Amino acid sequence: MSNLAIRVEHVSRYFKDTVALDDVSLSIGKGDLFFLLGASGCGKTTLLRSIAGLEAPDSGKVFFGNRDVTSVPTHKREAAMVFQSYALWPHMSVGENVSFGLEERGVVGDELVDRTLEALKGVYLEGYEDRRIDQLSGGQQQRVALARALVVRPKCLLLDEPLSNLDTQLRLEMRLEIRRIVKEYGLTAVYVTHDQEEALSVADKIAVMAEGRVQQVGTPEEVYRKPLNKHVAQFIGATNFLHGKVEWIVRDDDEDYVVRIRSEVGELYQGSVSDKSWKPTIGDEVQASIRPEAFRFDDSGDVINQMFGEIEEKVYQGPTVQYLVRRDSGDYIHVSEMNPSFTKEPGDRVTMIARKEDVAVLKMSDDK
Amino acid sequence: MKKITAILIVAVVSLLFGLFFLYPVAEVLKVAFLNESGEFTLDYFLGIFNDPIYLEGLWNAFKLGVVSTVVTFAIAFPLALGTHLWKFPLKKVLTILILAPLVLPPFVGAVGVKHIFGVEGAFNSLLIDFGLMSSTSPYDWLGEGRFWGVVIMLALHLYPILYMNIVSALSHLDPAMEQAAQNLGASPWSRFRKITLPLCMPGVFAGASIVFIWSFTELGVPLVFDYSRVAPVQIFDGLKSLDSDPTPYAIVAVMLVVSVIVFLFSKLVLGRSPLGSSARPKMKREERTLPPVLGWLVSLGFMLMFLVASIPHLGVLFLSVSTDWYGTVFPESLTGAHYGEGLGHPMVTGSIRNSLLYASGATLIDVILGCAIAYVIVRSTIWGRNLLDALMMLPLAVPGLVLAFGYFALSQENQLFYGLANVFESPVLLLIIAYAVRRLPYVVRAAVAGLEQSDVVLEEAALSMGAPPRRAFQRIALPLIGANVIAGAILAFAFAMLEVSDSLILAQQAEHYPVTKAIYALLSTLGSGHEIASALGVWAMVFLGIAIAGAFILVGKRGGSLFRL
Repeated sequence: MSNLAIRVEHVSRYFKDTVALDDVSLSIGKGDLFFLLGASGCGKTTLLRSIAGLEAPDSGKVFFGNRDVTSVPTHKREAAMVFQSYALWPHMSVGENVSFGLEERGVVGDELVDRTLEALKGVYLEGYEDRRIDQLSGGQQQRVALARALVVRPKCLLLDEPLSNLDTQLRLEMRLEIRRIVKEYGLTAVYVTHDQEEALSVADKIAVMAEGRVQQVGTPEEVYRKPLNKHVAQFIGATNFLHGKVEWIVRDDDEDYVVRIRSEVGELYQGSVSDKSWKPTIGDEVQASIRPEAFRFDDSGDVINQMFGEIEEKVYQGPTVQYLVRRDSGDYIHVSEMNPSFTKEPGDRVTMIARKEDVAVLKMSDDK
Repeated sequence: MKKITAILIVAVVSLLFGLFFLYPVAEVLKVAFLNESGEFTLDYFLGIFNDPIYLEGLWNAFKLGVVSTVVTFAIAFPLALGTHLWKFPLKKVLTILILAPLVLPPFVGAVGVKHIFGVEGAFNSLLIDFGLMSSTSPYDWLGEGRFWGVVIMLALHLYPILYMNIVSALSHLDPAMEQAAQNLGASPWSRFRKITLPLCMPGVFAGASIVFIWSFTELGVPLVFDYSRVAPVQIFDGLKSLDSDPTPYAIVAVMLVVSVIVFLFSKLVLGRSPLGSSARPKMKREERTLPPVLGWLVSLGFMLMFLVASIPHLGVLFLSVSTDWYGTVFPESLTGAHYGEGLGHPMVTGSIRNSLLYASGATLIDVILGCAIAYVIVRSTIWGRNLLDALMMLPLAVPGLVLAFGYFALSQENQLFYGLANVFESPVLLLIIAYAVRRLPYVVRAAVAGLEQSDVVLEEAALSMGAPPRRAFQRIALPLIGANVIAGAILAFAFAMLEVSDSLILAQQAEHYPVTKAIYALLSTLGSGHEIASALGVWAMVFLGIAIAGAFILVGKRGGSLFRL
């Protein structure tokens, strides 16, 4: 228990007739950069605000360490938040914004000044303390918001889509910057975003949320390569779903549960089931998730995970080339190829194959 | 915000509001609808409709309300549209100048007008000098057309309120909406008719209902113009025989019912905004620069309006510095003596002191209550906050006259406010409360607008940095809405200084007179009463001019939002 910084237990929150959070439980380890990832309306911001104390859950509890903070008001939680809109106070200078939290904690005199300047230095804004907020660029404002939250040395740092208002280049720089700061200060941070690339590239752990529930918690690699269900597979990266019935249990041990599937047109897919709580049996209707980049154009003859089709469209995207392939079975799949030496053209016949490790087998009933 | 704090605020406000607003109004209704044995009766109420004099008074008041509103609209709408659409020379100055009428209570302006358009007034003298009128049988402009005199005085005083409402409504429209219509091939005229006009209607009706209620219940101007066959004056005259006769109460009840119906109708039926709670427009509107000739023509129109609207002010100004202004175009000779005389007059200096005391007391109450109420309305989630919001607008629907009348009735011996009306042997507390109740909507509106414009995350950020809610309000919310609150407070203060109904009815003794009542009293004194009254009026004008200009500078262009209800 002692290495857990934040625990959320069975938290639910309703807004009128919609469910924002539906019995959510989470554990966040000390020093983790923990991401809440999901599409808008999935409940991730509500969950973050419940952790911050800005939203009172209708049921359930929130713990900081072993302390139940469910009814502790925001200002006593020592969880500093960085808001999506930054929420910098326009009537105060940069320095006043940053020193606000210190003043509220009764820090005065030299310590106040030193810590404020140090926090600004930490985000590379030395000498900006007397600037007005509207004299700063978006990126600078973002860093002031960060400094303002960090200066109070919070138990945890809460970030609500902190980079969504920045342009792409700055976003790439700032997300690494945030990771550097979080690690340098040894903070536990909860970071909300809808940008899966942002989550995959800097998170220690990701909780993928949809429809008010946590769908999967795992490392970036886990959630990408072993999605637990259709929501996760679909939201993180693009993917193709192929349907069929379990024909044979290839492997069944502690580590893995691998099945072979036969589709209606007779193709064979093989992949492992990532949901440990579920063991499909022979004859069960299941679906396989195969990412576009898992395919290779290869007609070497292995029948498992092999399929045939015709290139319908080609989209050139620089480093990769995306193809829309019309399969012989009649449906379409996406295939992407990294830096190919020869590109295929619409009308070309192709044979594709995916590695067995890249096939995730999922339940059919995941649409609810 | 904490639920308990919100509930506490709502409880305190409801109590005060019930006691000092609903109760006096109910009292008026009670006397109007209960007979001696306490049973419900419509006798008094229906009695009015059988008495031709009262009926005529009510009908005249209603006509006054309708016609003044139409005339006010006819003045305000073109001005507002011009301001909205075009760029023309001197626009900045002119759009402020045309708000000038607000600085003078209309009944004081009426005195000035009397000296210009009266039988022995400057206008007739001018006509006589040019040989256009015989000096033996001068035309009585006001005598013949008293009704129109009152209408014009009211329209000239009230058009700025409607103007600001319309300008504000227009400026809240997203230019993209019109551009979308343009893009789909709508001509300027059909764009205006199908998009602009329907979308700004709520603002128009909100302003128009205030103008109507104001003119319908106006007491001061008809009094000065001796237009006695109008309900408010009849009520005022009926005050003396109040003990025996419930008729004035019944007339007040009728006026209340009409006012509330008009207000609700404008809010619920006509004023429902089709925009709902759409975001504020992000795009900046492009005003069209007119070609020089057209531009100057528009400027000329604005200047003319300003000049016409300043006639009452000029009359008052001339009167205040004239030795004698009777039967001549210009005053015989000029003098500053009335200002000196005025300052030596105990009623004048006393009334200034009284008005400052009453108005600042009322403003203080309004600011404290207004901020608390606005905070509950905008930031809390407790049940009934929308009701509170609606309730806070009610003082605008209830004519000042009705409330004043209720207070008057309740301050009689053996009534609830008797003690209040006689603390320190003066009605100071009662007047402060009466002023405060009627001006509360301005401060609430201003504070609500300020809070709605300042994002709640700014306060949440303060909480998240460790500031307790009270500190977050003090350090973040209050400074951010400060300008709005100050602006609302200045308006509340200005309108309290200009207050007529409460002042005339509730201040009974000379030493308690506020400025408006002192002016009214001076008007009926012999000698240089009119001139001293005018000097006092000029003083009030200068004072309010500064106050209102201050309010506008503080809120910038959004001035109209203070009146948008």
